[in-house]
Amino acid sequence: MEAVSAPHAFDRTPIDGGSVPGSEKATSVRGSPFLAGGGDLGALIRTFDWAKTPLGPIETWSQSLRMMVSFLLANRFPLLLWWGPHYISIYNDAYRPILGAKHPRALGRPVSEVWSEIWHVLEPLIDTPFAGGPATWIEDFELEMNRYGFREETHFTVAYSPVPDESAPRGIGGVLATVHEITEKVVGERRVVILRDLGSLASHAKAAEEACRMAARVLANHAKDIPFALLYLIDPNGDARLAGTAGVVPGADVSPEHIPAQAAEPSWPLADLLRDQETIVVDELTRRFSELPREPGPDSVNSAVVVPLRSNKPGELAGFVVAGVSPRLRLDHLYRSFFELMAAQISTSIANARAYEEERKRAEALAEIDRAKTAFFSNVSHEFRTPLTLMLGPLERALELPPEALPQQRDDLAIAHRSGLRLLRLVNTLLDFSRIEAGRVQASYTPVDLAALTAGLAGEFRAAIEKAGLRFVVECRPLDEPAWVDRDMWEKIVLNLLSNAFKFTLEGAIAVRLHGEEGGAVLVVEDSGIGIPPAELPSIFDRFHRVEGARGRTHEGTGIGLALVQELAKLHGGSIDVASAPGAGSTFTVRIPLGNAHLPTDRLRAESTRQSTALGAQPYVQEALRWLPDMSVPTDARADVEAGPAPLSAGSAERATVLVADDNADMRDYVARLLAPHYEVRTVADGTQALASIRRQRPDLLLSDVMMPHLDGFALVRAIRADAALADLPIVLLSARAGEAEGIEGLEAGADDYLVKPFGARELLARLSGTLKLARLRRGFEQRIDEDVRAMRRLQEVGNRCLRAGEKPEDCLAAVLDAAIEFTAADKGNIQLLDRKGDVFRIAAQRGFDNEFLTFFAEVGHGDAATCSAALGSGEAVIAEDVSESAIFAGTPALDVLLRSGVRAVLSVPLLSSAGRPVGMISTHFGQPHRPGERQLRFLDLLARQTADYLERRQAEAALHTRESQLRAYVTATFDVVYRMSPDWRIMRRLDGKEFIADTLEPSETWLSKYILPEDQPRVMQAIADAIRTKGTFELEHRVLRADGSVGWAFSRAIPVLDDRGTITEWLGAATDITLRKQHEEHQRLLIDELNHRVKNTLATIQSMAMQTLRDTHDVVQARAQFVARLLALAKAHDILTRENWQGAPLGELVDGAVAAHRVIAAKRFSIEGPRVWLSAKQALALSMALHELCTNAAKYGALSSERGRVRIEWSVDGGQDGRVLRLHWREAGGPPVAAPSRRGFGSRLLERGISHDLRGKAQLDFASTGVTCRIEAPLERSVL
Amino acid sequence: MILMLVEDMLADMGCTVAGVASVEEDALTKIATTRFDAAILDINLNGVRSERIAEKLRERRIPFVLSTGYGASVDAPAFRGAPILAKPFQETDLRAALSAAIDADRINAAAPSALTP
Repeated sequence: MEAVSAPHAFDRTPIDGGSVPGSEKATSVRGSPFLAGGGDLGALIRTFDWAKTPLGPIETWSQSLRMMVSFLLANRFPLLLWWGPHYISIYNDAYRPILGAKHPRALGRPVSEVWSEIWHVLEPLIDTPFAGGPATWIEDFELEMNRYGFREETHFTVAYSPVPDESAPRGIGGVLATVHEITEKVVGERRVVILRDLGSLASHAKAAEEACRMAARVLANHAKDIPFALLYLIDPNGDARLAGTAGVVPGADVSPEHIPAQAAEPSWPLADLLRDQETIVVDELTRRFSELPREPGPDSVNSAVVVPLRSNKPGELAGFVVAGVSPRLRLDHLYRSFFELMAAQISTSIANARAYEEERKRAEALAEIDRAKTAFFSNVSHEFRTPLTLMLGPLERALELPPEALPQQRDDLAIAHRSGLRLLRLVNTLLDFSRIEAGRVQASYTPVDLAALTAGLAGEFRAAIEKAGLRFVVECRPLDEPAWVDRDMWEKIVLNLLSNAFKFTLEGAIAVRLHGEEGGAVLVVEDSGIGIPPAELPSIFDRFHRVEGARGRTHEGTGIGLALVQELAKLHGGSIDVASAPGAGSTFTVRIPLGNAHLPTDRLRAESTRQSTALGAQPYVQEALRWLPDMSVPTDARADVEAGPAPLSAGSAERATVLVADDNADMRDYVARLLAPHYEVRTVADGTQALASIRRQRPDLLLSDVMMPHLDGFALVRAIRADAALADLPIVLLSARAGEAEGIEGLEAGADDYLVKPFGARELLARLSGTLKLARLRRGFEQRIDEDVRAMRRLQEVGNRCLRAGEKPEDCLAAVLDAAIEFTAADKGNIQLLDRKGDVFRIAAQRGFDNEFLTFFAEVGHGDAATCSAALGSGEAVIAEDVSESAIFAGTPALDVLLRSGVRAVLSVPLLSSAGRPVGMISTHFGQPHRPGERQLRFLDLLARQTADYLERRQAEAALHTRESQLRAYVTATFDVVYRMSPDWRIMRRLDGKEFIADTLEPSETWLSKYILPEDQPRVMQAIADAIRTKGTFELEHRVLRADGSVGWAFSRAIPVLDDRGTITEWLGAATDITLRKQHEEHQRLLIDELNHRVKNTLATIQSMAMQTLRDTHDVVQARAQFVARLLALAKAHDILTRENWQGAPLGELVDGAVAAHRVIAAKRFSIEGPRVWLSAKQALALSMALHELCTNAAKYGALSSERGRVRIEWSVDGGQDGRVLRLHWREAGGPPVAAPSRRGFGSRLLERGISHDLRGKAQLDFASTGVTCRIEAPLERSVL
Repeated sequence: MILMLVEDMLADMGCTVAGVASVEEDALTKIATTRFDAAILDINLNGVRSERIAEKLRERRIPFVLSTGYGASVDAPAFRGAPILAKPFQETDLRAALSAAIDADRINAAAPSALTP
């Protein structure tokens, strides 16, 4: 073993081989680091113009989509993502082979376009998860795809799962398709069935033509793989003749009955085939032939393969098969090898049939030889007897001499004599047979005392039998009459049966009984010997038949003794029967009729013309004695094994193990002996033992009887098929019952093949060999695929677990570690994580290590003696195939620790973040020096990527958690309302209302109606839309609904939180309660409006005053003075009103104000008196102006114009019917005499009209000569305070 | 005082003042009992908005002019469509507003009568 000391890099070549060197290290392009790496597709997606697709530019992709695409690209399984309502396709490198020629056009296209030919099938399956329904999962999903320019039969196992996306309507962004193409597996299994069917024919056909016809019938049932087939056999002169067709009729242009070897333009390339003996592909069939089958689809078959059928003679072809290539399948290496295996099976069938034909011819020849042999024996035996007799005579005479006459040679002479006698007995037996065979027996029947004769013959054997330690019972009851028998023949009957019993009875007893019965005599020879297997009984009297493996005193024997006895009994008109069971002894019963009516008359008391072959009992007894241990040479008891034909599969280097289950020990032994030359054989006696034996050590094949105690064959098959670990064990059933129904039952129960007893050794071997070959073929297919599927499921399980919320990190890592140990078939393992600073590994999960190891490797840094630090340095997997040979550990204490911990090999794979930074390490450890397989490394690599993703995500989550805590602290500290919104503001994630508005503690989609008045919603939404569009700050003052239903005002401001790619991940906002400020502002606006109103009214009043003042004036100077005075009076009234906040004014102050100017010069001439009365602003203004006019008039013409004039102002308030009424009385006295003015000036009009309007009262001005008086009456407004 | 000014302006324009009212109650009574062709209505009548008076005038199909010191912001439905006379105003303003009110009323009045069977 070569130690690897340098770091060993993963083979990162994608499965389809179309890799771009260095693509794994591709750097970020266009600011999208999340797509770094990801193989060819990663590169393609980066450069793709997504803006032209409904998904929009990558920068605008949702978080969920970006995460899915990263996941997809990092995955080595074929994954396909359909995003958005158009199901836009995004896939990874592993999915490329499934697309075939549709790549790269498929990227970014809607699925309905990419898979237009199967869209009608896919649509509902994608719609369901996308619409919020459950994920779809279909095993063996047959689809007719067009990905290489033809409609292709494909099979898939698919899972379509919804992918959540907060930013999508209904929360589902797209559908993830996990796809596993199993076309190879499904088609492969189908082909295995075809090969099995062909294999089961292998030993049935009796002629080559029949083999072809039968094969064609099988092929006709499998049009999916073989749309048509032609089977041709090649003559000795090289012509091809059609021997079977499937899918086409014989004799059409495509299927000529005869193709001459020298044909100028043959339908099929016979000459090329004979020359090269290789498979030939013939294309453009539709151009060459008129009628071609269209099975199995609408497209014509356009290609065929011509495959040679090899004969068992090297360099010679038995024929060839033309097989149509399905237009729906690719003619790949699997399809080609299937055709070749198919041809091999047919070749075997033809070869077997030819072997059978040859054997039959041989059997016929043998029968002829047998006849010749009989004649020869007849002649030869006869001729032998003379010299033997001549030899034996002198020998006997010599032995009769006194012992001292031949002191030296006597023993030798005895041996020669014994051998001579034995030879004579054999020759005699042969001769008897020959005579019987040739019908030249000349019996001489004479009446004898059969009991006495039989007892006498039996008595001769007593010494030998008792010497062997057996009991010997002789019971011969005298018969009522003499029996007509040939004495010599009867002697042979009795002696042969006794000799046979002695041979096979090792302990117990032998009995000879004779008795009479109705019209006959019965001879019974019974023993307690080994017995005869039931299967042997029917042929026990056959010539030359010997029970194989019988445990007797000797293996010697010709196999003709019992056959002769039967023939002799027949010559007496009698019969022989046997009753026997293995271990229970045997009973032979000979019956002959009494009297002579049944015998040929010419042989009654006839003189025998032939020499007698009877030798008496002695030769038998002598021979029997020599079988006894002290008198015989031990013989090899091992039974010869019948050598069957060589098994069909000769190429297997190691012998397959076959478990034989049969309750019959003889059958078991028989089958075991048959199989022993070719297989390792184990035997068990019933189904229960079989199951236990299989579970203990799995054989390569089970050959089981159907009828067995405890657990029969069918139940055994079902039990095996139900056990996942054994389900694929090849099983062949054996049954004594012949019948189609039982065969079907056996196959339905799950047997691979079925044999009916009795079966020939050749057939058994052929079937077993075929079944084993198919099983190997099938295992090759299944093992690879099943292992991959299992590993993939495991990966998904682990991945899902890591994704699940609430799973503890240590549990997730433990699950990852278990998967890693399983993938690499390791003994131990651990996961280390790099600390924050990135320079020390600490063990985060481990399986199987002791304290010493854990302490020693608790912290591993750069440069330490460990595979993980080596892998950290290189960023790639490191394998120490044998730690004691590895340079990493050489001469370090780490090596001793490893060895003491039982570690001989280590595999470390770094966990790399998406930025290529190591975050941890998965290592698995092996108890023996070990080099992991390519497949194991591949799955470990996938697991490592998945785990790195998980760790990275976990770190990100931890960071997020910290940030959230900080945020929460801030949020709690502020008085402002704080809220978080989804990127599109559809969902309010949380809002802390701070007693201003209600809280929203769980994500809510109804926040808008909860907080915003319906009439304000459009305005708010518009501001949000603007903020989202510009990714800018949202800022708005708006009304909010408070929890109690009242309306408040908020100043709200939110900023978008962007990720490193500039995508909004959420909005963080705060809102200040500005209700008070808003109320102030409102108030202020009202005040300003009011001010405006008043100013305008005042101006209008001044306008009116100006108009009135100037209306009739002739004296500009006077008018100016009047106007200014009126303006000042107005201003004075305003002063008073302003002092009182324009709520009104007390009458007293108004009066004081009005007269103030005149008081300066005539302070004591005013008498003012009245209660405190509150006037409205309007009344106050009107009354002030009226008083001003009265004062002005008094100062000019009335009481104030002279030094003694006085003015009296009095008022009172009375309760009237309509409320309170103010009465004010102005009286002048002491002034110059008053004359009524000739024309009413402004003052009068103001008093009379202005008062009546503005005060809703009336004023009466009286120009009495003693002084002007004015009475004013006005209702006081109730509303005035 | 302003009333006096309006009365003088109306007299100068050749109109006869059918009556004056300075509170809502008075105005409503006068609308019910007096015949007149047009009205000049201050939006703020002694601190009370004169919407009810405007409604009544509309009911009786009497055109009116709104006089206000609040600028041009008049949004109550009862006031809608009436010409606005912003204080202080000149006689020409008053004349224009009154004719606008009377014209608009004529047009409005014509339409429903034409439609009435």
